[in-house]
Amino acid sequence: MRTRNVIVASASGLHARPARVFASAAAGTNVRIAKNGAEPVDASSILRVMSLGVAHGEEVTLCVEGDDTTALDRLAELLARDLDAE
Amino acid sequence: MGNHNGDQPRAASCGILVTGHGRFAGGLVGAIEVIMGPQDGLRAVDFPETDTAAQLRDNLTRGLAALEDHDAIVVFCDLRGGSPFNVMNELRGTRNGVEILYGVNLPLLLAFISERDRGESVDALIRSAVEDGHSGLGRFEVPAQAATPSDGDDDWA
Repeated sequence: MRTRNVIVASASGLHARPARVFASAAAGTNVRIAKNGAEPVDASSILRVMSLGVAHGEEVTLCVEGDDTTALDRLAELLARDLDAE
Repeated sequence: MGNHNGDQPRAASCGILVTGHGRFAGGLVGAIEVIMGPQDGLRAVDFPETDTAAQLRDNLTRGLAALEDHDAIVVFCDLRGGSPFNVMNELRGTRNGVEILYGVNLPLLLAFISERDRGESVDALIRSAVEDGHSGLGRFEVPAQAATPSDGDDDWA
């Protein structure tokens, strides 16, 4: 399993609209997302991403089974941007 | 739920009709569009206090007609046994492939819409979205470490 830790840059955290952008980008991947070492959830589900309650500046962990890190890197880069400002 | 043959319509090709008392439907669709942006094949039929049952029936009939190009239509109602649900239930026989859900909330509708392009059947997506609707309802338990604003801080209002 490969992982990436990333600090969420969105000004208001992963509330509805940034979560929608992130979950849409995660569609078709097997990437999961977790906070504080809790059980990871499906990154492509807006509801599960929102349920994490991720605030601005908090660290999350993205993970995927196998060695394909392309989606992992793309999603980590997305979370490192302020999606509220886009 | 209805269609259990081997050629079930795909969720991606289904129309969505939201209906309920007052401005429930327009409000719910408005909330979806704030989060998800404009959606194809999504209609709201409100039932304001000033409307009669006949007007509701006309509006729901038009709502279904506006979605007639879709392989299936999933109707999201606010209350089982309420007029929007009852009238919709009477109209469901006017075309094939109409599914009715009730007790609808924003998590359910959001799950259905955000996941309808995944290639699932309508039936499969209804089942998973209803589960999401259930799990999206609850009492928020404040995490223990966040129960108080800060030590010695007396401006907590």
